[in-house]
Amino acid sequence: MTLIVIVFAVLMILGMPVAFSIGIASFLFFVQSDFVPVSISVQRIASATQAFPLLAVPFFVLAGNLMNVTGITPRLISFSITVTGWIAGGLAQVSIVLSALMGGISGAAIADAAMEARILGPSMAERGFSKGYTAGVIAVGSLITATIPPSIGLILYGFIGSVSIGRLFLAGVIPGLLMAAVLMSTAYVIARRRGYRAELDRMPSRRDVLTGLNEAKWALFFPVLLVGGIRFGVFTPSEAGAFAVVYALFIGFFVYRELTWRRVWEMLDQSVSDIGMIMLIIMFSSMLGYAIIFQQVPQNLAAFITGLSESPMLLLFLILAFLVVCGMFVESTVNVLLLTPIFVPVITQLGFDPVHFGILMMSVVTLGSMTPPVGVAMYTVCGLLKCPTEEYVVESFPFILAVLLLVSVLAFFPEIVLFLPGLLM
Amino acid sequence: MLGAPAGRKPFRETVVARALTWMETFEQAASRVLLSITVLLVFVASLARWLGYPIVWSVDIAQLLFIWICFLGANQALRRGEHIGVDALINRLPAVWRRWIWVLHLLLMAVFLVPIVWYGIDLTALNIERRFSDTDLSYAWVTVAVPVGSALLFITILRLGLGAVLRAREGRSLEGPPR
Repeated sequence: MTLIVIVFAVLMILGMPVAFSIGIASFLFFVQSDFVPVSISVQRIASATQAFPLLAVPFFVLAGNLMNVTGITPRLISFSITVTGWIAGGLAQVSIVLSALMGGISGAAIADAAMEARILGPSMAERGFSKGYTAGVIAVGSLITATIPPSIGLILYGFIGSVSIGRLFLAGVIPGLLMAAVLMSTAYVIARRRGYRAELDRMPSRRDVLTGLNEAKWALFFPVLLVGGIRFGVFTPSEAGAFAVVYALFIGFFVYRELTWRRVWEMLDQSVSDIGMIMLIIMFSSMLGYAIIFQQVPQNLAAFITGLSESPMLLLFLILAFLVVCGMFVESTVNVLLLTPIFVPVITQLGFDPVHFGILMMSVVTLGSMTPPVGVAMYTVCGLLKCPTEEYVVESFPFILAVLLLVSVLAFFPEIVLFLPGLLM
Repeated sequence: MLGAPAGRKPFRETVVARALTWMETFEQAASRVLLSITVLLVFVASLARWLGYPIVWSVDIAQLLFIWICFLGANQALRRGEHIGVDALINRLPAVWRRWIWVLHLLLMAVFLVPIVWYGIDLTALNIERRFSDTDLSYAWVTVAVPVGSALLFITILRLGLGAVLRAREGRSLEGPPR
């Protein structure tokens, strides 16, 4: 095991693609082991893909890419402006609500952050918002997409940790909405202090809201349909993914009529590449999974962690702190793929519900892409807005702090996370 | 080998190059079509199930197509430099260093894929008799994706590596892996 860890660490630090770092390191385990035949490694690569629930991943990746070109986005933007434009910090509030809405149709934090930086960023600068504030709101706000269903991260967590994806989806709703509320409050306080104006001069009339709702209904209805469908057994999560693709095509071609076959073809191409990237990690890390179980890593780790303290809550916070640090350096998908099989058994032994832990884990590992030193969402947004990293670090701090506080509250009160799945499943 | 020595006709006009380009085009089209078929298959199968006519083979076929999508997609991602890695440290090094570390990575990746292809062929031979649970199809159609997919990755790595070395020899600047 030491060999695997050292080789993996060296390759990662030298910047080798994660999939191959994992592949090479875990293949060495099979080569040097006297008990395990090498041929098992190849068998693991093939069998990693042969699970029907895993098909939810390619389907939701494709559905998310398609949704973005259906013409749904501009409608969600105008809806967000209608409902939140009157609050202090106008467009900042709009960007947060927009992230929550986008989370319900695709759920890729980085794509969401990039889209908002492109579309809302310039207008926010025109209204005199500082670059750091704008970048902070947009980047950290995109974290909301991580827990609101459908979330690719939660699908992967559920698949790898053998946790119900339906329950995870339901559990993510309230934390996602709370995160939006907490970030909006933070944005409001800062905006008031600095005199950042609202976008609209008065609250919207009921009529405006209803018109906006009607325009955006196809997007708003989608997560409800999805979670409801899974909950009532209409479809399994993978079938829901196929359904989501058809849904996106339907609204793109027949409702908004902005989708073209050319775009569909392009999105298929992009999706195949995205899927290949994620799946190569899954395939190669299934060799690692074998090594981990063979060496009884979860058991040993559980024994080690439970030996640290008597208090499960303290241990949970230690694990979350560890995940925050991992998230700062490694992409969230990779963290979920590598750390779920290690921590889910540990957390279960400590008496926590893996659904509860999944939401916490997803939030903190995704937060890492909004912080230095390795933060894809941060670099994307700062790059697009031409915001210096130092300024971003200072001004995003209140938002990151707000998120960490919320995660702590969610850790202390599992009822908040488990309320919806408990009520409905 | 793939590189054309000075004095002969440029590499991109050789038969090998044309074959590779053709393969790339085919692979791209095939992967998109396979993904579309898989979506359609799972969607239609779930509709059929609601209507009381379950399509028993749909799950097996969807999973079979999936492993091929995974490998073809992984190969495309590799060609476009989309496989994620931690590049924070590497980016601080001078460009020359980065280029040679990248070549070293490619070399290691290629060496790693050789036994995967080898054992993959073995595994496929072992699985010819094995059947899917709900169809009469041989399970070898799944396992053969491992050696074929790994061989495709191997070819892509060779091309990327040779490209990097050739450019280095010509003294042209190259910012490490393609981004």
